[in-house]
Amino acid sequence: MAQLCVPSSLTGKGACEGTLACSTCHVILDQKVYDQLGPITDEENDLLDLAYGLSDTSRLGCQVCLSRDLEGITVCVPDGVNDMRSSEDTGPKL
Amino acid sequence: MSTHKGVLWKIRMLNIFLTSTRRVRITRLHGARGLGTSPAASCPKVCIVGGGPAGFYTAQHLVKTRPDVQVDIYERLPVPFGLVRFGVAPDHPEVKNVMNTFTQTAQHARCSFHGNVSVGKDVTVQELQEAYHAVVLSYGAEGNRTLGVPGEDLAGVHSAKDFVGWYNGLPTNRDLRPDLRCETAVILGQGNVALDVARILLSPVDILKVRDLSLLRPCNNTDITQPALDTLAESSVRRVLIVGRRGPLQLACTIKELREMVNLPGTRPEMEASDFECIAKMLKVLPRPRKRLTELLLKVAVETPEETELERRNSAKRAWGFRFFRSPVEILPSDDLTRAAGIRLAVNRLEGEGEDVWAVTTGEVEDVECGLVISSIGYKSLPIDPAVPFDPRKHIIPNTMGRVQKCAGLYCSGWVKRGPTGVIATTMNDSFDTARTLLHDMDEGTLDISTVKPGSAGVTTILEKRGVKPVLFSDWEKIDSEESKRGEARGKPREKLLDVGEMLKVAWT
Repeated sequence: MAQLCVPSSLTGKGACEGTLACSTCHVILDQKVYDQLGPITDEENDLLDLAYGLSDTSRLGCQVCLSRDLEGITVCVPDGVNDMRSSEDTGPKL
Repeated sequence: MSTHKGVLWKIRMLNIFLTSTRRVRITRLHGARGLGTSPAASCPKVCIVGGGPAGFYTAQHLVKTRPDVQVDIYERLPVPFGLVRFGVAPDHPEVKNVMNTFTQTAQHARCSFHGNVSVGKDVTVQELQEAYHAVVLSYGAEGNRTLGVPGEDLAGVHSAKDFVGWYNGLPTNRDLRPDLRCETAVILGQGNVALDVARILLSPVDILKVRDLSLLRPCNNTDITQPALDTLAESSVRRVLIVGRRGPLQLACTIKELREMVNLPGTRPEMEASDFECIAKMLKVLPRPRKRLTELLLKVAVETPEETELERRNSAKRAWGFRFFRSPVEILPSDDLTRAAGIRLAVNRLEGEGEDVWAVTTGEVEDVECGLVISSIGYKSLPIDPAVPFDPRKHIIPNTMGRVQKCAGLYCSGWVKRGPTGVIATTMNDSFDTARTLLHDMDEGTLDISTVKPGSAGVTTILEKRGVKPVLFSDWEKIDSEESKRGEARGKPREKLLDVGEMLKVAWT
């Protein structure tokens, strides 16, 4: 999925260019599709831990190999919303 | 499918070429957002102060969303990219891939980079506000929190910011000359920066030289500076303690970095089993990221390793470990009172519950012999200009969703807005948020973009009068090229220039 021709509205995804150094390519899959894919490495899981909106059928897009079997699948790309702070005063906890 | 906000994409294969490349078409199923904007009377001009990730991501979002906005980025150093260049560890080169995106942004027709310009000194924020419709402050955190304990100024005590700056070639830290002729180093703080420092101190120098041992090609060397590499090659440091005032469940680093320490060749973990009493039974109630981190920590600290791992640990010559429930109270001097020879730590216990626990001293203290103390307790933003409000307690610019409070036309993004925590992706999201706020204000008319503003032409006039010459992106590319050339000779991706004067000389040849 790292080789997708990504339209400009998917700005900010794939920041590390598919090298397992970020979680911006986080996608959520249908259970059936998720189950079809290969096992997840510790390294991928470590980065998924940091992804916003992590689900039970989450994967990093850059680690998913597209094949003919996956033709026509629908993936959910979570909006990368910063969930750490509210819209009020921001700042570190002291 | 999850119920939270997201966008659905359908993937259709277009062709499979004879090569392994596959082309796919993606069509958005719903939730499309238009890119149209109402025409402005003049081209809106935005100035961004700071050429690091926050500045570049804010600029990227602005130029991509509005087809008429011009964005100029001002940076104090001659070189762009901020902490991506000077903060990210040299053995994490993939994290630096974001520089490619930033380069595309800088080369965009409606974006320009101006290095070697110190805002607050060479040009004031007020002058920028006169030249631009909006000014976004994205200048990060150049200071660090201090320990506030006796002995902090002794030789052998450094902030992590300075130590990291030293091995990453930040000109200000070029002459740090840390003395690594001691056996034990104590790092105060347990975040990812602390773990980076530990890993750089304990990595076999061969790894810093050859990134991927399985390939063993010279081109895989890292961009750590040569003086740092030479100093580390002579280092006597064999033991690194990473100290935190609270317990294992409050460990601030992330699992990727912990796993790197666990797998670091030639090292073994050494921890106090007593620090981990009552932790195992907490596992089932923890959220996934904390649970996985704690499981790995327990496995390393408490479980009996199987045979090959036991052998590996027994033959390891270097050791590292977390020390929990410890706060620094004094750095103890050598006999001649010139340098650090130890650290006095107060023993803590925890009070509070759940997410909200804090350390309380028990009255007990413990002395640890060490010759190097690295304080990694947080970076800190500093005020840039009297015209910009600054919160002296939180050390950030007071703002609401990126709008600087009580200052029309002023915005902020990145660490100076939220505080100095988070990974690059956190800053990316935050910068996009600020850009969205700014664009919203333009659309709504809250931000007046109807007047004609001089933009960079106006600033260039001011700078010329003051004898300041900006470094343009094409000038940086000459520095980039020179660093790559010097690196090639050593089999490194680049050999960084360490001196601003030298950078300027190369930039303006």
